[in-house]
Order: sequence, then C-alpha cells, then structure tokens
Amino acid sequence: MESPRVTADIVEATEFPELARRFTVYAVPKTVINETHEVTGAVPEPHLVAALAQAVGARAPAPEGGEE
Amino acid sequence: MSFLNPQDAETIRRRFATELEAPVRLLLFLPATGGLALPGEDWQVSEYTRQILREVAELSERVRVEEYGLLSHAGEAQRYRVRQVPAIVFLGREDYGIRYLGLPAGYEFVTLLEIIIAVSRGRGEVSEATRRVLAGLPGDVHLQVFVTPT
Repeated sequence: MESPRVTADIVEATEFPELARRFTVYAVPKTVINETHEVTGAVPEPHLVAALAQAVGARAPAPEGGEE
Repeated sequence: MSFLNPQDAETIRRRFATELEAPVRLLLFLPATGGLALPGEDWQVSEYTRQILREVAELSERVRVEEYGLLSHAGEAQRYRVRQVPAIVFLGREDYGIRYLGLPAGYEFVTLLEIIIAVSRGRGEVSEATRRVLAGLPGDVHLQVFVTPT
C-alpha cells in the first residue's frame, strides 16, 4: 500500500499445496519475494524490508533496533 | 449456521464503524458461478469463504462483496491477477495489489479484517524507515506470504 511497486498474495498453504511445495513451505509464516528470495517466520519489519530491498538490488537499510 | 457469533459480529461492527474510511469492494473469485464445480475443485472451501465474506459485509455499508467465476469472468480474473481460487481481491480507493488465496478462517480471519481496514484507510502501519525504502524501490516486488489457519 506504501508503494505501487509492491503486490502481495496471502496464500493459505494447506489449500494450495502445489504452491506450498513449489516454495518448500514447511513452516509458516513464510514470505517468498519475487519467487527468488524468502524469509521464514514472523520476523521484525526491518528484516523483511531488508530482504525485500535485497531481492530487487536496492541497498538494504541498516536494521533498526539491532536485532541481528 | 452463522460463522460469526453475535458478540464477535457486534465487535467487528463497532470496529468497522470507527475505523473504515473509503468503501471497500471484496472481489471474490470462485471456481465457477451457479454452484457448478469442475472435477478436483474444492467447492466447500469456496462456499465457506463466500459465507464468511457475506457475513463480514453485512457488518458495514462500506464493505461490499462481488462474486466472479474464474472461467466465466476470465477478463476480470486476468485484470486482477487471479489464477487460482478461491481468491479475494481487495479494492479501496485504488487497487493496492493485495490478494488472499484460500479460506480466511481461524487466525487468518483477523488478517482479513486488518486488510479490509487498511485498504479502506489507504495506508498500512509501517515505520517511516520502511516507507522510505519502499518509496525508493528500483524494481517491482511480489510477495507471497504463506499462512495456515492455526
């Protein structure tokens, strides 16, 4: 919603087993970014944003709060 | 039988009354219209999804459900990037590109409500730092968030 470049599907994994298999979903939540990058677990917002930026070749922001 | 009990319905009705802004259209794509399911399709999941959305839409004049068949409305399905069903497309003042695939029940019922409210308000609840990164993205990003109802 903050950028027209970002779209999101929330996928109920048990009802779409082919998609879940394709992206090897063994635990939820799992976020797949552009079908190439992935983040498993309910990670803090800065971590997800860093993964997202990395997926499109943008410079990843420094994580806030130092949760590395 | 109702999906929502009267207490939950009242809580959601009050929340919608105070938090919704622009009208929200929920475009529900189903396997086929008229109750005809093709072999291999899980019609029951679609039927539950339809029931949930209808009950939620009854809680605010600002929420409306429109039903489409994946095959009978192929043009709309393509326009809204829907290839599998059941799928919900959330439209507020504009299409923010948010879709829900499957039955939004259990914990994910809360997700459904949060998306409706966010789309109605036209903004999420991200930090300023996140806003800055998203505003400067050099390419398109498509997220697939896998969840389960439990």
